Amino acid sequence: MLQSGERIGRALLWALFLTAVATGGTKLLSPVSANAPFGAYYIAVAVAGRFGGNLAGLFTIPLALLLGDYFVLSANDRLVLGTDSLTAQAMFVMVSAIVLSVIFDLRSQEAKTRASERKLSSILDAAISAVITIDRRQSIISMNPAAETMLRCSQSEAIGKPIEDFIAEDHRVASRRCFKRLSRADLGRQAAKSTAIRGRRLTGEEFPAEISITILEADADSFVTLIVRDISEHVSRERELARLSRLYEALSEINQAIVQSRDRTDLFNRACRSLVKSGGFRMAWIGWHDVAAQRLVPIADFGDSDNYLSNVEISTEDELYGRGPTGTAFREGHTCICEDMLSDPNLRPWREALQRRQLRSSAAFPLRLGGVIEGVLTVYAHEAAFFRDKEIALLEEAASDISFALDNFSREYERQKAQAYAQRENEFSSAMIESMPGIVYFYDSNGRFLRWNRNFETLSGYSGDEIREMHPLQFFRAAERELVGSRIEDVFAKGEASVEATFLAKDGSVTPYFFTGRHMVFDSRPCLVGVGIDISQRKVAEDALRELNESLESKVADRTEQLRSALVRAESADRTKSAFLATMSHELRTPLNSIIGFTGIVLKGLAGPLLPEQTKQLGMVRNSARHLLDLINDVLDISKIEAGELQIRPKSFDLRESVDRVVNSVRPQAAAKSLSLDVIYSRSDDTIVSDQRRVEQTLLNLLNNAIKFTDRGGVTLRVDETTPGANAAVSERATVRLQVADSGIGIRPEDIEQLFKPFRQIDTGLSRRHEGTGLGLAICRRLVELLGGTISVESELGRGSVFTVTLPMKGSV
Amino acid sequence: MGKTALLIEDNEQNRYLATFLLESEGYTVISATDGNSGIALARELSPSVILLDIQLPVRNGYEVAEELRRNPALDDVPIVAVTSYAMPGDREKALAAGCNGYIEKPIDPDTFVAEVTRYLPSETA
Repeated sequence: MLQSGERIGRALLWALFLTAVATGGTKLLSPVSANAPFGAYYIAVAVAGRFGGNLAGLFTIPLALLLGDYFVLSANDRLVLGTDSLTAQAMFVMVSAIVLSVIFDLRSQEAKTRASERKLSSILDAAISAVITIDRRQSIISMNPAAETMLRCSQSEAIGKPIEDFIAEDHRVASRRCFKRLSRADLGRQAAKSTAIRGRRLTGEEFPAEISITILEADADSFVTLIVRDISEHVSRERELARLSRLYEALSEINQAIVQSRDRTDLFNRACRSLVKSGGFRMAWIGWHDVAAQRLVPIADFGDSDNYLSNVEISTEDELYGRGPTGTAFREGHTCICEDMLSDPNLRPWREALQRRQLRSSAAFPLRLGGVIEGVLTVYAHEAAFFRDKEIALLEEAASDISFALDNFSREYERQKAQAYAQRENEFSSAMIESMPGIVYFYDSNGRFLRWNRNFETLSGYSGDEIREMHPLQFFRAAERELVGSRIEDVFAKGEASVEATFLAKDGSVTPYFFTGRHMVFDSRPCLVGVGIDISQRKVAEDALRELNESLESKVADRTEQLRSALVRAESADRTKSAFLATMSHELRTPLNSIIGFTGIVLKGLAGPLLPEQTKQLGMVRNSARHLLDLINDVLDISKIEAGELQIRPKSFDLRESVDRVVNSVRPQAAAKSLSLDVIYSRSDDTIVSDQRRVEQTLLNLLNNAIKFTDRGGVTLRVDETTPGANAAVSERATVRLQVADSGIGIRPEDIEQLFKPFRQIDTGLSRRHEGTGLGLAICRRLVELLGGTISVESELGRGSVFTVTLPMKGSV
Repeated sequence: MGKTALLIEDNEQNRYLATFLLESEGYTVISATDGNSGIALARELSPSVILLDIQLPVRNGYEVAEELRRNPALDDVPIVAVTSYAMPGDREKALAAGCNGYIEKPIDPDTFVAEVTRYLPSETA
């Protein structure tokens, strides 16, 4: 009631106020409004009806009548019907009523609209979906709170902005096309049904959205209502699901590979391939531990299109190249994830390469072999923070499955190795048994044959089946069975035994054999391994060998004896020769001693006076004896020289004295042939370092020869010396020259070469006239050479010869 | 004072030859035909010179010379080897055994005694 009283009061106030204003206005405009005295009251009624409400409009009508009667109309016109003023008043009431009713309609319509608008607005406000209204120019007109939340933007900020501001850049073209397609035909209908689009929040963040578009028309203008749904969570959930399902697929492929792969490499390659092809990773690889290099070496990979791995180096140590996920996983033995490889400082060494390949995150899982970490499986994704718990768990499972498979491979490898070894051993022992020259057999303690070689069948004459049923003693004669049986017992008791026995073949033939048996356990049964050798052949062979050895020994002894005696002979020949020479020299000298000695005594008259004829004849005896002595001496000399036994004893001596002595000794011979014998001695210094005896011997020889081969004229001895110049070569040394020139028979040029060889006397026929051994010049040459000098000859047949000896003044070196 | 020569020589002809030559030059010659008797005579007589053949029966001349040289009483007595050994080293061997001189056979009757005399100490020459 209070409310309606208030309303009536407010309506009365509206009516009073407006009629008063209208009266005032009419009074002010009286000259103008004389013809329409109620003009201003019409307006007052309409205004009161519109703004003050229906009641105010109704109250205004009677008030306007009262005030109009009293203030505007003349007295006689007041409330009198039938007059013009009465008509005017009636007209006013009717028209005002019509105006009011129209205003009523309008107001009630407006109130209805307002209520419905309020209702719509509250619906929109409460809506979960974002609702955005845009106009034809695609500017935002309104948006609900959900939209505000979604776009992180208040309605006031958004209004007037183009809707494109809230669409991801790469979707704008598409959305523009979509809006363009909208036409009036779509009016009131949903123009696009749940179009997927990427929205963009005011913050710049993008999100996947679903949008439905409806066109509305109001006040001859059309609106577009967009209902937007943020589906980012939904999308990420779906993507996660897709990823997991791919991973499951990869995992199942890996497990398939584990079952099917026969070796490590194949498994690794297939695993990497599955992880990339099915699991959706960019790249996957497996590094294996290279102990020596302290590196993880890639042994399988997939998705490495440009040889990233072949250039990458992963260390197993905690150093620059070992701190990536792979190295860390290896070292620490657990999964290592790198959320963003481009920002992780541990990946600095590889960052550039990773960036180029668009590898953003990675996960590394240690692989174990026999519980020990030997390798690492690393997978790469193209986006950061790719690896979530579920993925990691699945990949860890894959790594552990692979590790399990590796253990299996290794067990399988060991098994195959053992099997192959057993196979080889078996083949080897079979080959051994078969290649044994004798018989080989194998039986257990019950005497049941387990194995034997082919020789055993061949030599015994029994087939394998027969042998299998036989007892070992059946291969021996009854007389020897006891002995053999006891030896077999020995084998089982002591480990081994041997016996010589006769092997009895199926056909009754017997062969002497030597058997050795050894105890061994086979298949946990005590057994005997036996070998039998045919010793009839061995005996023959032994005999032959013994004979051979004996004959060889005697041959060696013979040969040794031969060689020894040959050596003895050779040595004794040498000794014999020396002894012979010594003896000959001694034995020849002894009689010569008497001959020369006594002829000398007799010739000296010591034994009494001699007749001239006796003196002459004894002289001949003495000459012959002396010649014989010369001969002996020459032979002795040449032998000594040839044997290298002649030794030179150089010492300083007076050459002049030597020359005089030698010349004087031959002077009687020269005088006897009436030959001149001159000495031309032109030396300042008389000393020389040489072997005096040999120098004199040489000179004597040459002078003797000269006198011997000269019948007319004479012999001249020149002694002089050469001294090398100041600039002479070192090898050139001061020498003494002895030159013996004669006017004798001379030597033919072709004979000169032969001259100095032993036992060569020139022109044998002629030489008989001349005594001599033919050794003289040969001895001279050897002596001069030993003294370090030279000897040469110049000669003209029939005119004479010149022999020149040069000797080093300071001895030979 | 007469010069005494002890001649140790097994060859009769050689002994005769040497004795003849030495005696004709005024030597008193005592002969021995082997080393041992020679050594005994030398000890007994202390000759002026000992002429020693090398090839001797029982003990050769080298041994005899060594034995003689072991007797200090004979230190001043020259020993001259008279030998037909003319092989290399024979002379050296003789000198090493204690001989003072070496005369090669056959001896030269013209010079033999003079050569022997050369080895005598000057006061006895």
